[in-house]
Amino acid sequence: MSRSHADRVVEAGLGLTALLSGGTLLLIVWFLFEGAKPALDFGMLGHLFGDGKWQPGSVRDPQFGVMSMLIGSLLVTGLSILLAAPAGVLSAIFLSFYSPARLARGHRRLLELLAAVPSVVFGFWGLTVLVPAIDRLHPPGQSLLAAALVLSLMILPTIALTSVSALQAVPVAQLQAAAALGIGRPRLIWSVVLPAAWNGVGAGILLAAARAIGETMAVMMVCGNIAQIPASLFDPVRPVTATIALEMGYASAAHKSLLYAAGLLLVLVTGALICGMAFRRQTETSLPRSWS
Amino acid sequence: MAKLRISNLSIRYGDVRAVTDVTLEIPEGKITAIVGPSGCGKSSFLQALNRLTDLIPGCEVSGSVKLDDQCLFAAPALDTISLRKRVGMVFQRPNPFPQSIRRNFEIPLREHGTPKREIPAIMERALTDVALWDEVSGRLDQNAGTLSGGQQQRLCIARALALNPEVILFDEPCSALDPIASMAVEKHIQALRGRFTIVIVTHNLAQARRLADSVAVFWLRNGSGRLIETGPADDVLSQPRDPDVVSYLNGLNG
Repeated sequence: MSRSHADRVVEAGLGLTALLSGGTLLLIVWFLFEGAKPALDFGMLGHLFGDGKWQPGSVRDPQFGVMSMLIGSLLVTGLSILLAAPAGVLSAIFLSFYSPARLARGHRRLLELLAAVPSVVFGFWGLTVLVPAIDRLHPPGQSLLAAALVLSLMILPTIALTSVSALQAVPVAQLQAAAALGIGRPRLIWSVVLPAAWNGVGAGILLAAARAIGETMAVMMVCGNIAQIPASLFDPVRPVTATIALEMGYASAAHKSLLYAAGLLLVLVTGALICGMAFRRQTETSLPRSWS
Repeated sequence: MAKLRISNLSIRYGDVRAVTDVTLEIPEGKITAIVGPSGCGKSSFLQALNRLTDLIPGCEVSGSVKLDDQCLFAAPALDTISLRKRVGMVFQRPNPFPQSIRRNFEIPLREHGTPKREIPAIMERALTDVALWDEVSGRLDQNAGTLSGGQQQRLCIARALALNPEVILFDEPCSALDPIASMAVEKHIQALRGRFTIVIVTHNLAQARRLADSVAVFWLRNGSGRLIETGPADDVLSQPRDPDVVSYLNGLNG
């Protein structure tokens, strides 16, 4: 077998696997699109964004407004990022620059374990510990705040671990340059390391946001599941994911295809996040195209 | 008049003795070249002079280094921040911060308390000293990474000059540059004679000959770097006493 022939076989094999992984995404989008089609055919798209309420089961006055749930998803995600991003980045700075090496190793293991805790366990903890605590502060407990807090704990390890990697990827030459100029630790971190690591840290935060917006189980257990635009942190919300999980089992006809449409919407929002990440990456160096 | 007094300096990395028992005086306002074959502890020695050895895990330094009359390692030791403001360093590979040219000056100058309004003038003077001002004055907000290798190295020299140090350490500053950029950098080091005390590690004996007032030759003996010959550049480079140095200078050894 000639070398170039072997190379062609390898290329075809690699191409096929790449096609499979990329094609899966297309299949999922197609599947969602097919499911959502009746909704589009029924001319229900206007209802999705136009109706004020979500009461698809009502015989007298069916309404299909998905906006409150989309806003619920975005609020829960945004708030959890707001809580987890500073905490994650600061703990990464502590691990990389301040803590003794042994503590850093142990702490890193803990973060990895935290990332591995199943979401239902987070939800269980939220339901039995966090929700009653918030209830004492301001009833009913099951709320936007509870969902954001549980979610922020779930994405904290992602942000912290990717930030640690980004901080440690800053070239030693940069650290030496700063040290040789007599630059102390605070300015080293703030003016030299963070600017160099910002791309990686930002990618970690986007990754966490993509995970947060898709999280279902833990959020569903603590958010209260009332489809409304919350007026305060203590009001119940109902994200898109929770709605799909709760209603897909019994929904039929228009209702069902609306749930597909909501899912499609969620994929689009997540896709926009990932595209934002790819756009950031473009500034970084990439492999040359021709490797012949 | 000695600016730096090094006595019985030894440097170990764990079980490896990189430098053993070096005693040397670095004269003020002069250029001292450290030469010798690869792996004989020249760079380790240089890094002890601004305590950059602190950054290397497991590195132990014994003996004494004095800047004027202040100890670097023994108590009451000079703190590393003010030590490194007084003893600047330029590395083998240019290492500007991958930020704007202006930020490369602002970061260290702000650290050492220079008021913001004084920075532009200091930056201009330092960049003029390395003949870079005319080349970059119109693009100070561009990323320093967009400069050529030679320009980056001159920027790094200017950045070190901006802190107005007393001593500047050069660790093979030309070895990553092409011959033309290398000559330009060498010319600027030459021009700093008298204003600063300079210690330069170099592989390039011709460069040592052109630049140095005094020369120290390091050599690997019994698995560790040692100082085997030192003195005025003319004496060491033209009439060396040590047989290893004789053959090294004739290109026969090392």
